[in-house]
Amino acid sequence: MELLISPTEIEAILPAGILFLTGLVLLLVDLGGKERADSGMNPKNHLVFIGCAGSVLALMALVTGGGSVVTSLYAGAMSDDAFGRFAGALVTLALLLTTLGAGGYLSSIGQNRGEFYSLLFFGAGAMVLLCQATNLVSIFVAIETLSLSVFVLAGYTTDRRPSSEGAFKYFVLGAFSSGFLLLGMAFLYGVSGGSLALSDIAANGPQVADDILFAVGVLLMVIGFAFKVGAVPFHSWIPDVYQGAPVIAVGWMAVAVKVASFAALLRLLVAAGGGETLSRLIAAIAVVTMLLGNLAALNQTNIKRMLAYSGIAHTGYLLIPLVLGLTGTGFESGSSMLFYLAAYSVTTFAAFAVIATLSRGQDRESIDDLNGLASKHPMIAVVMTLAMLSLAGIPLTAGFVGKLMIFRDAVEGGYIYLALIGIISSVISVYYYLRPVVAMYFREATGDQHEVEHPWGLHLALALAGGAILLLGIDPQALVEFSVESMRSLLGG
Amino acid sequence: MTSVSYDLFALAIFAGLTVIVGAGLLALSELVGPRRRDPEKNTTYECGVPLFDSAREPFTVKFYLVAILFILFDIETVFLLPYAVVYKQLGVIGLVEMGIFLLVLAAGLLYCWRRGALEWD
Repeated sequence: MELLISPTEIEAILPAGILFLTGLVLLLVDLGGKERADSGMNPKNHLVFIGCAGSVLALMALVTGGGSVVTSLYAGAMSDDAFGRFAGALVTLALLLTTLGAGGYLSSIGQNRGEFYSLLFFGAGAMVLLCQATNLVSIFVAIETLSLSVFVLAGYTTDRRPSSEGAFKYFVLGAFSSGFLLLGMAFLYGVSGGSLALSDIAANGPQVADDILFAVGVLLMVIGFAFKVGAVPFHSWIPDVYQGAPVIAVGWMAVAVKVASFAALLRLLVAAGGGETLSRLIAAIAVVTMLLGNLAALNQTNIKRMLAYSGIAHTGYLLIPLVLGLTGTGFESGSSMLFYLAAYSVTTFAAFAVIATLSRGQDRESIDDLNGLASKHPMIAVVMTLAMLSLAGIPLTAGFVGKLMIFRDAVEGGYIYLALIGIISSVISVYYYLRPVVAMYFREATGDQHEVEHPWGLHLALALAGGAILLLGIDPQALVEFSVESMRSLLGG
Repeated sequence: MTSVSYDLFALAIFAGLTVIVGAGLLALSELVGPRRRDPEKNTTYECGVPLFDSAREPFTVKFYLVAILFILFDIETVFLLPYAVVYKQLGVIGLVEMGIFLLVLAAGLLYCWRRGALEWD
């Protein structure tokens, strides 16, 4: 038996391979000696450059390659469709922005070490694989790899108690949720006649649709994913983890984990179906998640906690296309989820990157810390305002287009109540999204709180993210078409 | 001589050699080895933790590091041994894949070494 790897297979795994390799290089470049202990204040531009080169290469590999209709690569473990590449490209873009921002931020808290970058890249490689995975085992391995890297990133600042506390909570709950995922996979494996491939599960779906084990299996897997994306009632870890973790890592976690997990969940549900019951259940989760996330965010004074609850609310919006996909109107609605993920990624990253620019020594994370920012640093304040407006869904921003697409699909699919609750909770959210804006423009600064350094990387990342928010808000057509095409490639097989 | 009995003959030689070498080494150390008996030496595990003691002793985190490194290279062996059986069938691609695997492990070892994980103090 000669082991063969076809060129298509190499092309499919190339982006993730580049990311893993870059992670390894970053780890070895910053080895240093014993004296490395006090080099954490150094901006270490070379690490940022290597990281950017790696992520740009991976992005090019993602954008240029693929498109082949071969569904079964590596014996069915992964696919190379436009859907996986789209989601993978989102992850890699977030990686590029995070890497740009990491150097300046980490040196400002004195913890600029190669491990941070390599953990980012290992996690990103796993996320790209998760977006392409078409078999239960490869899904699980990818999820575990990305989770491990994110757990460590959450506890990266080991000298700060909240960081370790958040990381530990995340680890325990993450391991717990992996248990759900694994048990669900075991049920699906049993019901689908001993096959791990999603295509076989899809083929067996009609025969076993009434099988209670099949329903339980899909449900358990959905619960596992609900933990990862932070849907109510599996959201309790999010605020503590976001508050404790270094803010640039929070931006990365909030964006990339959600993109990759939603991509995998969408792929799973397209294959497995789940019907009326599951659809009703996800609709209920979506409603509670939207409302609870937005209501809990109202009273937060810590901006990281506020954005954590806002992230929970956005998970709720993102669940709506799944409901629509499961009950009849079809998974074409998934394209609005893809666009929303793109819009959410740039917006959320921009918000967290602004907090990262302000930090010196430690994170300045109270909303009061933003007081008077507009007079000292008008450009940073503009990006923050854009991010907040986009999260709230105000027109001419990316977030507006995303919400418009999701709510339009909901109305067309006959789920008017979902659209209504979504709109109501968006209106509620405007209140707390405007609080940072009010603080920046209408309050006086106290003391020296905005005497920030000027890390070039963070500012470049901010500029890119802010530009993307505006671009997607004003001229979303290209990306909308691209997400529709990607979704078709997933459905067309 | 049929092939079966030939195999058994080889096994018998192997078993005989094992007994001779094992017994010989034990005898040699009995004859020429130094003897310094003290209570510590007579315990079952000279270098380990005391056998009868409170189970809630704190012990240094370095043990965990050693254990983790051990598992890592244990896994390396677990993957290398089956590969050794089929390496001809797997051809060049198998060789490249195992090379990548070993390089990743070597990078990890290099990292541990430079970070000082291999030093006890």
